[in-house]
Amino acid sequence: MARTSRTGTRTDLALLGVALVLALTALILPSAIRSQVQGTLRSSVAAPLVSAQAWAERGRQAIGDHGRLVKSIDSLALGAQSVEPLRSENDRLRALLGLGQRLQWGFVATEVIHSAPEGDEHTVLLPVGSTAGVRPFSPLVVPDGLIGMVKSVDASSSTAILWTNPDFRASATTTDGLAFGIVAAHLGSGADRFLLEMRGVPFRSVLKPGTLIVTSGLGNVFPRGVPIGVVLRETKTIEGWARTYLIRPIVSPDAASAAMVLLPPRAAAGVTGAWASVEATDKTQQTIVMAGDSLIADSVRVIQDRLAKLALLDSLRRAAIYRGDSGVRVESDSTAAPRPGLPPGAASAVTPPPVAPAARVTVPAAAPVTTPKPAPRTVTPGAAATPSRPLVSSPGAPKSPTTAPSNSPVPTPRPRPAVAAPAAGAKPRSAVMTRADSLARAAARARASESARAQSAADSAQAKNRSQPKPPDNPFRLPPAGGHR
Amino acid sequence: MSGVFDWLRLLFAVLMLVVAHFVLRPLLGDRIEIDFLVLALLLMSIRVRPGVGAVLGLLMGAAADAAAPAGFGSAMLALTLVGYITSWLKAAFFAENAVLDGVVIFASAWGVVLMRLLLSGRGFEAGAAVTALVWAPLSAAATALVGAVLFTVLRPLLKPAAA
Repeated sequence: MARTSRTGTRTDLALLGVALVLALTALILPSAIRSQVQGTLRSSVAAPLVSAQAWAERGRQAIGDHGRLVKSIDSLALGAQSVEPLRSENDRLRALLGLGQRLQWGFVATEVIHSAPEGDEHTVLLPVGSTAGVRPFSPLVVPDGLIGMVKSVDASSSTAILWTNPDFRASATTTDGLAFGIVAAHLGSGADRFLLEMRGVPFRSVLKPGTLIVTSGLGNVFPRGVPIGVVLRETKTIEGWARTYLIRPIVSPDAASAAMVLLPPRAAAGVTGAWASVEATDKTQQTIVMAGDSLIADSVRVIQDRLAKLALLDSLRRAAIYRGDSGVRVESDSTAAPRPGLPPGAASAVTPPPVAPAARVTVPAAAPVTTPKPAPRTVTPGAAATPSRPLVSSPGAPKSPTTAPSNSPVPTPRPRPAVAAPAAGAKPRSAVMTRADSLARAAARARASESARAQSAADSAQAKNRSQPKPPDNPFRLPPAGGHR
Repeated sequence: MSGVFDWLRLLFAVLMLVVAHFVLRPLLGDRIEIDFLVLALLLMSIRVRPGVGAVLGLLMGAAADAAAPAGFGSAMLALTLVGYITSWLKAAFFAENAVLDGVVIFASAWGVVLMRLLLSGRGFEAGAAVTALVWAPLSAAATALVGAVLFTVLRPLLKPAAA
């Protein structure tokens, strides 16, 4: 027992020695070899453990980064909220710079402070005054058009009324100068409160919706050509001698944070070309509308022409079918009664009944017409106009309709007239039209001869009818519905 | 048959502790770290002879060194000594006393950290004293607490069959 314990102790010591030697060897290995051994372990037996540790490290990092990411997202969202107003303000300021470049002189750029006393939201403050050259009644403009007018001025600030102010007035006209009027605030309620109206337009001047209204330059307050708005519609007024139009203003007063005050010398000299883009846009819009109208008219004309040609072709096709010179036969419902007083052939050949029975037209296989069609064609009731043969057989004839000639008992595919089938592989359009013209001439001749023949037959039948008593009811008429016992 | 089943249960528990050392420990804390590898080694070494415990410590140290950025071999040496010593002291260890288990675990964990600090050459760096005297004892205490609870819970399952 003691020997076994000693042996075990020696073995344990030996194992401990080996382990210590290996551990110390690993410690004192050169750096390159140690790294190589470490890399080998990482990529082999310890690879799952290293991967698990890396995964855990990433998880801990993600947990730690969560709060920081939330803060970053919040700050970014806060910054993004201010981006759009800054962008729009930048656009407005760029537009204002563009207006300044077009005006070149005689203006004062200013902020528009919407901090007027309560109840007077139609008045704004301007941080420019008489020292900058601002005078009362100076126009207040933005790149889109007119926004108001300076009302009172002191040394370093001034007060301006917007076009929404009930005291605002401006002499206005259309861009072509054909209609004049006075533009003032439309004192409506709700959304209409923020519209303008153009009063005193001569009754002869009818303005279309969308017409651009600009200042007229009359009165020496506003220079000519500053856009005010576009016509919405005419309003009903009690005056009968002038028209009043509702104007949609171009400039929203709330959106204006910066504007320009036109100084009196500039207003007197005019602002020709400063708002040319707006007028050009209006003219372009009108041109597009007119072009669209003309295009629509052209399209309607083309469609009408095509419909007329189609009607002509259809009539020609019918004439070719009913002419009967190509082996065409017309089948009809046997219940159709012949018109009294006329022979069956004449009754059906001269004028069709108002509501013709359904007729089926079949053509024998040897018909010398055009390309054969696989299935027999059915002619609609309205198309059964003037068959050259009787639609109904004589009273002694059997009720079954006549189908094909005796030499072709089985109905064969009906050839389709070339004029009515310009399908794939068909003749060109000119050839079709030539064929249609020839068919039209043939149809006209056939109609003339048949009309003469029918007229003579009708005359003889009328004469015969006068000499004979009225025939009884048609024995071939179907009994009324429900009475067939 | 029962012995094989006991060994399988033991190996499963050790494997879980080793995996927890690499997966769970990074998520639990930054300064105070629970050394599941020491717990696995102690759990294993009490059932084997001291020489085998030393070899097990060498292997677990190799695994720890492979995943460590520096000081290759320090964990091998430290865990080899811990494995041999705890196996030699198994008469005292794994007794029916959780406090004694905790003390042994605390000493083992702290000793491992100290040896790794010294053997890896980081023992004279700035902050090494704080690590050795503050964070290492706290980590060892946390390891001892977890180990005492774990051994108490697992004792009925991992109790060796009567020979």
